[in-house]
Amino acid sequence: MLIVELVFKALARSKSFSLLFIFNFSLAIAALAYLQFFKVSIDSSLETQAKSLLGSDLVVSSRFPISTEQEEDIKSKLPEIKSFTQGVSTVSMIASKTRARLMQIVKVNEGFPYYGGLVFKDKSIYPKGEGLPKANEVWVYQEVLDLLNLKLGDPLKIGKENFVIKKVIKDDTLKTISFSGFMPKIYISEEGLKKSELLQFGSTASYKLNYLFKENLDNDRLEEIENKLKESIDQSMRVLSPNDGRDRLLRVLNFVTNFLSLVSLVSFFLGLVGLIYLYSGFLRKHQKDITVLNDLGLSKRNLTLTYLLHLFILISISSIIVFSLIVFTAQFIAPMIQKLVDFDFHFLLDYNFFMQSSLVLLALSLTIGLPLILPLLQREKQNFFKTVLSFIPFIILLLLLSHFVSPAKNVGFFFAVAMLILIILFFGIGAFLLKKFDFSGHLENLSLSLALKNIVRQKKTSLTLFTAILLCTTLFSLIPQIGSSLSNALTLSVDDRPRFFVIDAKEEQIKDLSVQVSNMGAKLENIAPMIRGRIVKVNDVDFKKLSKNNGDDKAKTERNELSNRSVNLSYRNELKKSEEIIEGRAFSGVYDSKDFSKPIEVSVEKRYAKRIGVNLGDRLVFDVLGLKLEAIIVNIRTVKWTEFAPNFFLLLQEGVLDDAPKTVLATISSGDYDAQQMLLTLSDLFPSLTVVDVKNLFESFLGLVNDVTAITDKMSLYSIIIGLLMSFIIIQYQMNLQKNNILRLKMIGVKNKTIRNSFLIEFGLISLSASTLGIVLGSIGSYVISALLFNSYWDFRPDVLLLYFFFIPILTLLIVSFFTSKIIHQKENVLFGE
Amino acid sequence: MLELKSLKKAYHQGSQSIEIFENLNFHVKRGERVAIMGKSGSGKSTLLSLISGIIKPDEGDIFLNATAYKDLKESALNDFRATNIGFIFQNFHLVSYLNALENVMLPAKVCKVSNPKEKAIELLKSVGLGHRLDHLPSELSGGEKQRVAIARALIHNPKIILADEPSGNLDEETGNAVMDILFELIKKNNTTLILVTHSQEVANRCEKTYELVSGSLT
Repeated sequence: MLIVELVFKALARSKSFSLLFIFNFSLAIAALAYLQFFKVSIDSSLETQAKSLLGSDLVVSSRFPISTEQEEDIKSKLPEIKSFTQGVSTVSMIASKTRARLMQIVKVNEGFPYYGGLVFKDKSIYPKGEGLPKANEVWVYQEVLDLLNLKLGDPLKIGKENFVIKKVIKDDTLKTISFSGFMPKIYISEEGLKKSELLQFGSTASYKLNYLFKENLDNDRLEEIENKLKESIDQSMRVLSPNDGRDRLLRVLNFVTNFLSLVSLVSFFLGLVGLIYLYSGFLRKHQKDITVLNDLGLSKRNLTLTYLLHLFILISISSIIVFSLIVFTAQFIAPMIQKLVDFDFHFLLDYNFFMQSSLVLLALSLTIGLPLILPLLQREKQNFFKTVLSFIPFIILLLLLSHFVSPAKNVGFFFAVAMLILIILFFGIGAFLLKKFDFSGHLENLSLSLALKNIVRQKKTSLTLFTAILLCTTLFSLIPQIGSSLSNALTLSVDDRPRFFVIDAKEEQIKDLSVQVSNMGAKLENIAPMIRGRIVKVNDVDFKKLSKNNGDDKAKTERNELSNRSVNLSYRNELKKSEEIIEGRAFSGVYDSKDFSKPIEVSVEKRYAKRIGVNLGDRLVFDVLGLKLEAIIVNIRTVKWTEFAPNFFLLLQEGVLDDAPKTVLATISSGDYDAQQMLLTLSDLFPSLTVVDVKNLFESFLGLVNDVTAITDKMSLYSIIIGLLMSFIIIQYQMNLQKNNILRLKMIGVKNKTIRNSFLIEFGLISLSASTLGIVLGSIGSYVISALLFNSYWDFRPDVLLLYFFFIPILTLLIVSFFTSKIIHQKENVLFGE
Repeated sequence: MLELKSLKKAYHQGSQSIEIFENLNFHVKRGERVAIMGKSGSGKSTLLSLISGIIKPDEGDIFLNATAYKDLKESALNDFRATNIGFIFQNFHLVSYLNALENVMLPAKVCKVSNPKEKAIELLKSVGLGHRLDHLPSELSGGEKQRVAIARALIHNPKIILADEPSGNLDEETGNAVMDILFELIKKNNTTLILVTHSQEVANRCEKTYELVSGSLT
């Protein structure tokens, strides 16, 4: 009871400390708690909605029509089937009178999807309600109307036939699983699709078999069935279970949250450093009370419990405030996140999340509290090594937390370890350098002299502040520069990029197409033949077996996926401007099919070579429409994909595939012509042709990148605020420690101005050197990352860097000024009669 | 040398006023060593604060070397104190991040004494700490800290030393040794000493001993 009484007295009588503590810790955990909370909500929604995302228990899809024999074979390998449908979808240029766009045409099957479905704007639903569309009717997404400038009831030409827009779709549970998910959808009846004559040889189409099993199987069991089936059916077919839809969305979600998790981890770390200093200062202030209470008979155990409970209550109050804010504001923030991840998840108050958080907070109280409280009770000064050892449980807890909060495997853990190593490194090098810089005696300038001695001889504080500011500025000059570099890579030389990609053109169409494009003031360029094939062997070893046996788990999974997929092959002998051979030699010339002594030569793109695990000189066997071709890798090349010029992972030399059935890929140059008119004309003259508007495509990708960069930028600013709050706490702690020294200096006759200047120089130097080094390290880091990822489209951001360069030191000086003025006006006569 | 004339000083706590000195008169000659004794709360610390010019009397005048404190502005008074008064405290009050040499050099730097480093080394040697120049206060014993404090108080040749219980935190043997050093150096420099102490033995070393009772020195 006495413990509780003491705790409440401590809380009531240190109001400003308690408020600062709660403010600091609330800020520290807010971002992390928000992210975790939404992740739990989304994960849980995905788990329950996984079947709706797929529409069925299992889907088998193929780019070619699935034969009856294949269907029977699949059926024999599956559990008892309750219902089954055959789906088909394709992409096509769809035009209104004024506009044309590439869209996805999906055949509606009766009773499908088995889970989830469509909700129309008129509030009717399908399949539980609305009947199938008639042969001349279509259902469309709102985007179709927006993009083509149409309205409900308007006619719409698809292929060779005119249709009426009967319904507008508001929600579609199958939206995310689509193989061409970025395109707006048009649902059409089976008869309507036949009439349109869209499905011809060479058309990009997806054929699906949708299964509903009699038994209600859970998602993991369905994944097992999926994996078994994958092993035993034609490798050109893909098998999907509900978990695939979930995983696909999780990947998008992880892309958004990975970066944010790391930034929020930094905020959390900074907040904890602030918390340790703050609580350490509080205990130091109450050291005499602790000694007196101990002398009066309160046991060390009870004293420890008193301060642990005090710490836990403060942490709990902060957490309750943050959790209440999350619950209150989630309804406003959820729609923004739903839009960003393109998934209408259900907002969920998961009590497990709160329980887990409470346990973590209790562990934090113990691992921070004990190393701070116990040395005070022992009444002896602990050496540095012992202090570090006592914080090891806290460090382990941090590493574990970092591991669990980051969505990508091990990213958080490695990030925290890297931070820890950097901190140890900075402390080690810093302590060594500071020792080297120490000198005896005074300089001519007394303020500078006192400042340097404080920096050099209060190593722990100087290095903590330096390292914290350094890590902050490094990270926060790195993030915006990487963001802008990526945007830069996407927007640079836009005029040199093609405006349209032409996919699935037939060889015989190219001449007419070229003339037509030229008549409209553009050029048909980058004409490349495209042949579908599959790698079956690498160096005489079956590629599927190889992918299962070699490399780590991630590489195995990736290779296994690649070994199931067919690849696009092309041929040409010359390199493009955007390519560079980094290993090996150029092709020896055109392949002579009569000379069998020379092997076929193949060029592999660098990253693809790494993904499938092949090297220069390896022999690959391709299956091209049943024909086996053996080729040797004569070069590995890099491709600047950011230039948006069409290219291929695998290039064969000319003369090998010239006679194989193929489609042609080409580009239409950018220029001063009417792009809408170009689309309208091409879709009218070549209805089976697929024309992708590259500008729109990369603008939507750029939009996503900019959204993520903007959020990360804002999160960075948030972390900077926490970093500054931490600096405020450290400076306050340090100034309180210096209070007596200030009075001693005053008593000796050192002028107030000299004392104030010494502190301004001390913290100014730390802050300026740390932020300068941070900016340099961040810029070097962003340059290296840009060079590695975006082929050196590095965007130097002097605006952001200058802001940090001036903002952080100036704010530090203001904080120091504030505290010095507070202390410096105290009368030094308190030194008498102590 | 030092003269306190008709000093009046009271502290105010809310509506209450606590009278410390009502009409205090006190005179110390140059080179004189004076001990002031008194019970806790008798006003010894207030007296030292008044003599050092940190606090101002409500009424009356303080003169040091014929200079009236009330004629000096605050910054001039601070400079005057720095030049003319040296301090020795019960808790030593060395600047924690400066080593022994730098602590001793500091008043010399403030008062622009020539060759501060040489003088500080000489003084530290004279108090027996020639081998501890580079040591921080945390690395020194209590007796050593007080010897550094004595050296610091004397380096700029102040007219007067104010010593507040200089042996109060030391054991008897160390205290006596420190007092020996203090009195020896003071005698050598002909410096005036005002020493506040509870110890009759320490007071006996001085030429005059006063007791502060009810705001008067007797």
